[in-house]
Amino acid sequence: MRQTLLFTFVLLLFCGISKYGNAQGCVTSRSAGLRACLTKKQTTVQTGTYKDGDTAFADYLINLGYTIRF
Amino acid sequence: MKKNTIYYFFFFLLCSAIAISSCKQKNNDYEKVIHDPLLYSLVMHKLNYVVIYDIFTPPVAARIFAYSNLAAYEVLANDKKHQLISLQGKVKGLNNIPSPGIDSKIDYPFASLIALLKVGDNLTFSADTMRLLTDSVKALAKDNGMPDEIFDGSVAYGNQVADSVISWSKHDNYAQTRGATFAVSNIEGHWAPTPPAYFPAVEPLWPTLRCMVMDSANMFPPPPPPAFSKDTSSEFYKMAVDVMHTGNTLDSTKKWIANFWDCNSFKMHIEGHAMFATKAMTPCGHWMEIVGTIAKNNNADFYKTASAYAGASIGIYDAFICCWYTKYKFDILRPETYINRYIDQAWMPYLQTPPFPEYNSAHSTISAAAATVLGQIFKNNTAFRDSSERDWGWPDRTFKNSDEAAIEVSYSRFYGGIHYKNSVLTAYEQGKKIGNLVMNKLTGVQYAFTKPTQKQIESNHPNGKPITTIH
Repeated sequence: MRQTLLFTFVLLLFCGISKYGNAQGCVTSRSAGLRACLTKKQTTVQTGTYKDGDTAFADYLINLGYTIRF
Repeated sequence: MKKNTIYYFFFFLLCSAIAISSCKQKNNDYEKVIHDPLLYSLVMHKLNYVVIYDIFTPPVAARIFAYSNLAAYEVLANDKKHQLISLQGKVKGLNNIPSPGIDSKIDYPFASLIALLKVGDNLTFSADTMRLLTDSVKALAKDNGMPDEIFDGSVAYGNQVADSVISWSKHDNYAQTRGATFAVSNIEGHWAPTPPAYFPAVEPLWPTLRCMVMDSANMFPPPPPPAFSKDTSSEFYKMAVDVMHTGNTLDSTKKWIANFWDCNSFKMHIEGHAMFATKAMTPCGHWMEIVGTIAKNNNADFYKTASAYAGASIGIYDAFICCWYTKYKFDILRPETYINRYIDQAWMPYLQTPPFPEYNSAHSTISAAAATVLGQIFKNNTAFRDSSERDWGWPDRTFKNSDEAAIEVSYSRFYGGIHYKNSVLTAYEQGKKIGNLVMNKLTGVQYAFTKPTQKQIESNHPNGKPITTIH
């Protein structure tokens, strides 16, 4: 029984990683190692309100460029 | 024990079902990736950096962005599921954009990126970088499950539209104006090459290029500058003293503003006998980054984002032609030249003087044009934080709207000591008129230009508080 549970856990873990890539919700591509990712952070910027620490456009570009390896 | 076995069996089945469903990639996964408007902005950002690397002058950079974005826009305008209207017949000479085949299966955003990159590749020098970028976009589509039929149809259509735009671009008089030189008149009051490199004047025949929406390069003539005079009581002399005094008393915020909008694509440095140059974004490249920023803030989709890039880049392209016409018509000397000759031989501006006549400010004209277009596309919801100068070490600046940024641009040239105040203000007005015209022609909606009062302009500037204090 323990082996079954362990196998199930490993299977879930593997599929979880391949589906979501990382905690930010990335979708992993099927080949070539490219990953396209839309993070949750990318939808949180509020129009017209800016303060120190807010995600800036440059951060979004770097994040996307990094995740899709451009 | 038996009960436990059944429980574990069903638990295993449930987990397996979840696992299998999560592993299975949906057919439309590619849409999430390719239709992301941020991908368009990223591709434009990459093109911007190719333009920096290749060291194109500001007007030429504007031409690259305008044709590339127009190609992408025209692809999207053929998507019947969206409301974009083709600019054929509205932009001069643009009338042969091919329609997609009836049975073609096309992913329009993907095809638009293909078109953008092909035109960009054609107009820039870094072929290897552009090819790598194109291959990366194609791999992104493939790897995220775009069906072969759609992939092939999109690439073919993107290339067709790109070819059409490239063919159209060949008739704008650009090729005929290569190698043109400007004869320095050596007449008092007229432009002369400036330190440190004493480069010849850039693109003297740019006003002869085909406009995109303006009737002619002289459609929005600014008032003539004050008459040249060396008299200490003359308006011209006072203008120069104003530049000198302002340059000598810059505080840290004004230095930041001047540097933030410097956008000198080829800045010379001379240390003893050593000479080297540093590259930077052109003014239009800086505004391309702002377009992406404002589109993102408005949660604009791929189509609206591409429209904003196209509208702004058309406005900037025409603004350069208009401004360049003014520059070479009046052929006015730079503040640095005037001050060195008649006031203080040792005075230097805070920024390096660009190599073309002074009147009027190109950065002010193109910024006002772009800001006006963006204000109308996004219905004045254009507050933004500009983070595009980070690579050059300048902290972000924030703006209540795009117009406020355009006004700051105008003042930045005055602070930098490379323009007289009168020049940046007339250029701002000129740019606003061009921006309105672009939107009138492209959308059919009449936008009126209300001339701001001096008080309104002054009250709008300087804006924002420094996020980081520069000492």
